Amino acid sequence: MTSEGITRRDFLKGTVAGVAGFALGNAPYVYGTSGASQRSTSVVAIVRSQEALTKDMSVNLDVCKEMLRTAVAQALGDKIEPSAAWKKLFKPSDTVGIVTSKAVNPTHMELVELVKLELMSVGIPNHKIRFIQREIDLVKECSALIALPALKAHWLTGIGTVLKLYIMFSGKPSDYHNENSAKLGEIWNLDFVKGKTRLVLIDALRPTCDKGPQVDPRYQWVYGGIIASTDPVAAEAVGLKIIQAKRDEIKGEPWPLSPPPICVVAADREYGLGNSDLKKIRIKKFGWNQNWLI
Amino acid sequence: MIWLLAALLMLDNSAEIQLPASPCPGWTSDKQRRVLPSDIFDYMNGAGELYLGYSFKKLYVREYNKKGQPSLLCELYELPSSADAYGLFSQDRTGEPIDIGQEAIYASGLLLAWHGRYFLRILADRETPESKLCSIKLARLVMKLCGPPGEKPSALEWLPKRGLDEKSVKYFHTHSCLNYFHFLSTQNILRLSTSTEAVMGKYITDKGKSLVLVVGYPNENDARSAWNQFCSSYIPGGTTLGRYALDVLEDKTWVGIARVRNRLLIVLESPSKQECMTLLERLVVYNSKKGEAGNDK
Repeated sequence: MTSEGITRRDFLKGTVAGVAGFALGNAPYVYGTSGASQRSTSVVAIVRSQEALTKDMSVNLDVCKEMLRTAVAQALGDKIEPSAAWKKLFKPSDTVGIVTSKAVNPTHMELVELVKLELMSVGIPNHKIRFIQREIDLVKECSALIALPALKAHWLTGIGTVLKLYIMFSGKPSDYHNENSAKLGEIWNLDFVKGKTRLVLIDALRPTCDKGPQVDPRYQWVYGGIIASTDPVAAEAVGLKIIQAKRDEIKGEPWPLSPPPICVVAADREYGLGNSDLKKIRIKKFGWNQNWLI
Repeated sequence: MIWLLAALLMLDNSAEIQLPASPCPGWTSDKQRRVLPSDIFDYMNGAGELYLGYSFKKLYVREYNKKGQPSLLCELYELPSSADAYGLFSQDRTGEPIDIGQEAIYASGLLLAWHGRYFLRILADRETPESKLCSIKLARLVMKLCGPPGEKPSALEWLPKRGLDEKSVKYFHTHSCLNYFHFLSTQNILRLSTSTEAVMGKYITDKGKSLVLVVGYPNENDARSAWNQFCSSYIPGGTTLGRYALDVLEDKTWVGIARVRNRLLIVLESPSKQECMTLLERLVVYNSKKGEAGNDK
């Protein structure tokens, strides 16, 4: 990286800001980030079902409820029961904010309701559960956050899923587009945000792998998945890999995300938010055993 | 002054477009919304930059519903020129061409069209046979409200026709759009803005594929400045051959740049030095003749 920013050539050389491994050829944005993080392995659970969405694209609540419970339990351990997993993450005294995405590919609100029910089953009363999109005051009231974005590419940041979810908390969202998207991780370290995110859930029921800025059904597909992790960067890295694989599948050749999603490795290296290196991420897969894309 | 303002407002209101209230049997709609550039981020957070990049003037929005059918969202963008309406349409033509307006496509519940200074986007929540029929009917009705047809951008003439994949051609202005089509740099090293015009297209020969970008600047000085920044930022170790500068990238593809008056002519991702030079020379000759169609030999 130079004073002229990051160029395509930096990616081709694999020397982007010391985060080797970004490459445009096959676009394995999250491969090979060797030698930086001393963090231990992160766990990301993906649970899928062909019945997660009905034919008219409505959420199948019964199916998604079980997927959600399995995903959270598996993200926390190999032998933990779902109800115990939620209790491990949240206490009845918590005020919990569920942060969702509205733009481009909105989070399915049915999933939000399912998450709320799980929180209530832990003993958190209804009035202490907040639905948040951009309200900074609500974030400040919360002792814990759940990041619940939908999986999507973004035309200004490459990927617009987990790390971009908190952009409105910055108060200056346009400061984090294009070249500045590398700084998205710093929002997670703001005083009123830092350390509060105990769970990341990605709504991967029907992701979108290109276009934006608005929903474009040409690039949406039914993946029928819920992705869970306590590591936001690892969850993002896994989502990114799925998006990239789908793009390559659509074009029949490498179709790198453009602009490149520079926020993911930066969130690992610059802001210490989690693992971006797939070699340090244990991916646990359950359910619908076709077209995993990862 | 007040009278003048009032007259202007009346003129503006008289030019308001009213999207059809009930385009198809059984379909009803909510009240039409009008979105101005100052409100665009309230309407589409994180997405407004695309339309601001084409300096849109107004956006008309109306949603249509029918029991048992997906909702249809109709967005009609009013642009400063037909060139910009074409530019928005040119972003992605993937889909089935349909005979609506000056050009239109339909794919998976999404209908895109342009006509005159207007760009139309109709999106169904999900696709059904009835939603497709209604989208097409609605689009035809809306296009009738959009006045006379308009010219495509004259900048399209900057690209020689031979070997050009016409469907790949895109017309745009800003750095964000360029990086969306082809990432060059996080910085705006070509100094693109709403005052610049850019056309990009793919050329296919038996030697392989190359990408061509031609940027027109308001004046020659701006073009020179952009040349300098591009060369120093992107091909600092490149070779200068007369009026051309070339370099090979780390993936073994070639980049070349030339300037003709206020235009920068850039070849990207070319499979060889010879192919890059051949294309660059063609571009120079073609653009030196002011891009007259049919001069490309």
